[in-house]
Amino acid sequence: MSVRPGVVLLLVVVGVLAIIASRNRPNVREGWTLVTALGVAGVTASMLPGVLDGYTYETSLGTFVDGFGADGIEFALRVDELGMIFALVSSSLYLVTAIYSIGYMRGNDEHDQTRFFAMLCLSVGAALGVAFAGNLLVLLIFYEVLTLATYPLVAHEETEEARVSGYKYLAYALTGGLAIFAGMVATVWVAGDVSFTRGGIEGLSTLADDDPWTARAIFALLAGGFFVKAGVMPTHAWLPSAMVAPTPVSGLLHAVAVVKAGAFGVARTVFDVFGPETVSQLGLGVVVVVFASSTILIASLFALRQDNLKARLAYSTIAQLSYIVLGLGILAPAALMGALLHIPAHAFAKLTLFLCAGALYVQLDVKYISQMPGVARRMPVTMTAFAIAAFSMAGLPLFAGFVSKWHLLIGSADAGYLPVTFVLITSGALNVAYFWPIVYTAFFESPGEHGGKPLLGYPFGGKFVSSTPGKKAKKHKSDETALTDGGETPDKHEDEVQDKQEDEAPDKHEAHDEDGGSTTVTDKSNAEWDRPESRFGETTLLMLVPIMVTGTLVLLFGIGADYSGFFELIETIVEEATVGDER
Amino acid sequence: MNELLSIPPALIVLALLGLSVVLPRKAAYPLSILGLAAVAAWALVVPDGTGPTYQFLGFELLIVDVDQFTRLMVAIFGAFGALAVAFAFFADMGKRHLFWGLSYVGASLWTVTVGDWLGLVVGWEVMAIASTIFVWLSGGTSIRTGYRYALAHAIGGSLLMAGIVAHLIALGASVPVTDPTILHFGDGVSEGLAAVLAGVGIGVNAAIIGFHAWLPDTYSAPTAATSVFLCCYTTKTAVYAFYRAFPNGNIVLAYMGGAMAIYGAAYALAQKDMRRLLSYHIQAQVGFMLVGIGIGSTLGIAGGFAHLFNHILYKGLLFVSAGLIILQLGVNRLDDFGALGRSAPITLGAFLIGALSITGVPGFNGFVSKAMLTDAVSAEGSTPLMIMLWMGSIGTFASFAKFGYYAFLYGEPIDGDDANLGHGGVVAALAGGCILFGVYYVALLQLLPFGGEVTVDPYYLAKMLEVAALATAGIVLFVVSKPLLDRLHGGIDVNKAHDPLAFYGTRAMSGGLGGLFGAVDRLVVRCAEGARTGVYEPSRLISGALPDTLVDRYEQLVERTPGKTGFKLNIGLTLSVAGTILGAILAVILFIL
Repeated sequence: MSVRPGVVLLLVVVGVLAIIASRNRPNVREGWTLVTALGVAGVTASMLPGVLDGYTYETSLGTFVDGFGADGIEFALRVDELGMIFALVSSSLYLVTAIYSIGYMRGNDEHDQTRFFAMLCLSVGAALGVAFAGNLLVLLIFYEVLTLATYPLVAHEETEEARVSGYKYLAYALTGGLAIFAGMVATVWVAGDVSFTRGGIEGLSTLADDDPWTARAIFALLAGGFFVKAGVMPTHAWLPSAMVAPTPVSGLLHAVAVVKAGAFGVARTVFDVFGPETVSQLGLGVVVVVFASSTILIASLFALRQDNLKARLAYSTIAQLSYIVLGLGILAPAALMGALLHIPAHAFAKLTLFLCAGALYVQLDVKYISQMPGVARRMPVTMTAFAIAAFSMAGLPLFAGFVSKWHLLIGSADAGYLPVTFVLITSGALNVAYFWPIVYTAFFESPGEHGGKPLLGYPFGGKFVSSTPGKKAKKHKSDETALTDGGETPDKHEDEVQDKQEDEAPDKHEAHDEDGGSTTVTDKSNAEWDRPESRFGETTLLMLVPIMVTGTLVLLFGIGADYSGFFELIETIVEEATVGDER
Repeated sequence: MNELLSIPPALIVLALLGLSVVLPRKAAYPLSILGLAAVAAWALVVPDGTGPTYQFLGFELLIVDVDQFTRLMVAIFGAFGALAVAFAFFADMGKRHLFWGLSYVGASLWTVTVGDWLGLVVGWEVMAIASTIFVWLSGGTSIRTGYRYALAHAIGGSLLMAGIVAHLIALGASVPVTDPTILHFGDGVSEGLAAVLAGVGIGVNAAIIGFHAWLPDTYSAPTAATSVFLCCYTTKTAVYAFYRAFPNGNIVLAYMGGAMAIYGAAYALAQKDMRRLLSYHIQAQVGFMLVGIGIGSTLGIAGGFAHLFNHILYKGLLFVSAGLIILQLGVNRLDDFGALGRSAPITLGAFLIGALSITGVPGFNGFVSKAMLTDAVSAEGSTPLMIMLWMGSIGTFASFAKFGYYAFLYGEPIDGDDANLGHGGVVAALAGGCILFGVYYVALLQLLPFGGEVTVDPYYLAKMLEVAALATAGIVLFVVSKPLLDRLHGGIDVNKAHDPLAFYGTRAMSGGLGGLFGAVDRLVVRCAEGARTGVYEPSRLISGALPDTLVDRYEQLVERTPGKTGFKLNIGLTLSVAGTILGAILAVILFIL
């Protein structure tokens, strides 16, 4: 019996109290956030060597519920390989996001910062509780705490829209929790045990043999409940609405902690409640694959039409989370590995994207993609990190996303799911379709000269908006020549002196979402973003350094995945879980 | 392990990239030229063998794995890269152009140096990113073009990945990996699904028919100096990859190559934009190469790779000549300027030598490699393939007659400023290569795979007469079809179908689905609102449900009656209703559970 899992949660509780206690001294309060984040990350990381060696840290606080099975249900915290993955991702990224949040909240002059930091800490603690849960009941408890703790963060702005989003979020999440509760009760009834057992709970395997439809119903309840938080369609609608929250929340929680908790729950269900063999025997893999595949494609199609940057990232999150669910449904060892590898891979990249979006908002008040032409001139480091994370989303090698995509492809081929291969190929292309325009508009277009965004809302072939009145984009003759003769390339300006100082942002304009062409893009005649004052001076270092850290993690994981602890952990999980398979 | 084997050429380029960031332009460019020349020299002296390895995702990546094929590719890629950098320098391009050009070249070098499929896939995709950004640098319409290019290559790269995955499964292996060397290049890609997927994936980069529209689209859009880089690497890496996938040949590949030779030449004939014309010729010439590799005999493969080598030289020269015209006159299309005549001798010389090489006139390098290919085809006894190659050659003669005529002979005489000395040097180097490998082709044979095993002796009468016949037919074709060609502005290619389909189709699908979800969402919200109103303000709900005639009377009733519903239940009735409900619940509990 080890104290470390318990210590982590205790640190969180102490941290929350300390944050609340120091509410009148902001710097002390921020200090408490950082201390807690460091402590939590440190203790979690300290358990990694042991877990890699096969040791499972356990903290048990006694029997919780009497009367079922052998010893009743314990309040047990168990750190095994699967929990370690989720815990490592959450705790390390909490540290990064905590630093970022300080910069963000102050830069935006946000209200109610104490509530924000306290609830952020509590949410991460709840996510760690989910990771360390030793049985379904403990997981469910922390799962619901997570919902309640994140609610004030979603509704933080306290506007009408924020409140409505908050209620929607609560409604969805609590209903999902209810389904999980029902599933858990059924499991206890039937199998007498809800502890996580690698390879599946005995009683459920027996049930699958005797009464498959009941077993399927239980799986539907459990997985369905977890699907809500994992953003699987059709229970995804809370996620785009939740983007009204401050960006650190959208990043850490709705890209890393909360949605991954949902995916993690599905993983626990597949690995440790039912076991991959039983799930396959019940024929449930196909159902999960169908839900996940349709979510991937539909969410990507929706993402194409969003002009609001965070909304586009939200739909991207929905699609990417379903990569994890897809892998868990395919059930081949490679696919299971791909699903688990996607937890850190997507977390690093998606957090980078959200942190960049937040920096753009705080520094330049840029929320819409149609405001972004040329913005990389003003914020080069931020947009470079954005580009790196976007390449990862598309699954390009050297970036984290390739690691999981490769395994998912192998898994789908291995299990004979040819359509899934095409879903993955299409999804990769769709990712390019909705991320590349952001990258190219930031780097290679300018406020005075750009094609309209979002692409689908404008005519086929693009509508070239130029600052010189009367100059339309023609398909041949003179307009192209200015670029092809090599004399007028953007390169030329590189060696010249810095442009003169002017107003920073071009005039604001109406948002442009979905269809409709009545947007006006106001162009100033020589509109160009100014360069930042110094090399890393584009925004506060509190925000810039976390962005650089997560961007670097994307590259490190993409090139050296084999040497990160994650790979070994995941290989162990999959090997243990599939030991009984005839493959 | 020989020390040379431990230096991946891509690493040299990486070092050049780093230096190009910190050094000023006048130092970075010459250094890069020297560095790439060093890479070419490396290829000439490095022995066969394997260099460093790296464990990636459980597989063993062979970072450097040298055989004769790799040696040829690295040599020509390095040498041409140096010349392309030189061209860019003398065209006053900046450092960003150098950076992304080097990235593209470096990724290509990686791709042809690795010894396993996973390493190749990595290089393949990095080439796609680097070239996309490289195209975007040109700004303007190149941006949207680069976007389409990225989409095409994303699909191609994913198909290749899927093909390699299928190959892995067909070998009986999977992940977690038991044999890390399973993906080393062996005897090609497994037959069946793997071959199809990998073939199409590689084919996108090779511009096979149906997946080729990105080629003329993209290579004609950016700055002239960018096109000089682009024309060399992506398509030739695909030819190399085709060899690795099908080292024993593949008859489908050979016929596709033949079809490409005709298709490319035909569409080239219809182009007025200089670089589009040259781009379609890339497709045609790659078709020639694929015929050789598809046949799979030693002469075929040697011929295919000889043609690859020579093609880089003369196609580079042609893109340089077109680039010089664009730089001088600022126009892209042959009908936008008059007759250059002899006013720009370097440009004229570049074009002439390039055209004579690509058409395969004796004395130039194209003649030698084309002879090898036609000999290989006749050794196989395949008449259809031979006819396809002849038709491709005739089309090539016709389109270069057209190019030469319109650029140099047709229209008002104009005075071009000729190329500067630096460009003259680049032209001289490329032209010299074309002539050298045409006359002293033994030098090329030494570098070729199977070079020592094949007999190459193309300077005999029958062969020369064959070329003369093809040339005549080509020029006649041009003269005869001139009136028709005058009216063609590029023709209708497959992208006229798949581009609108992709755009409007995606828009329709996302709009349709969005509409559907929106409708469901609105329905749900309406129901929720109704429930909420029902609880808080029942009177509103009720008056909404009543027919118009009764609404007024109901409103009066609500005003007079306390409470929210407008109805009064006396105590007795209330108690009865409550009692009935409770009794029903009790009954359910007692009797059903």
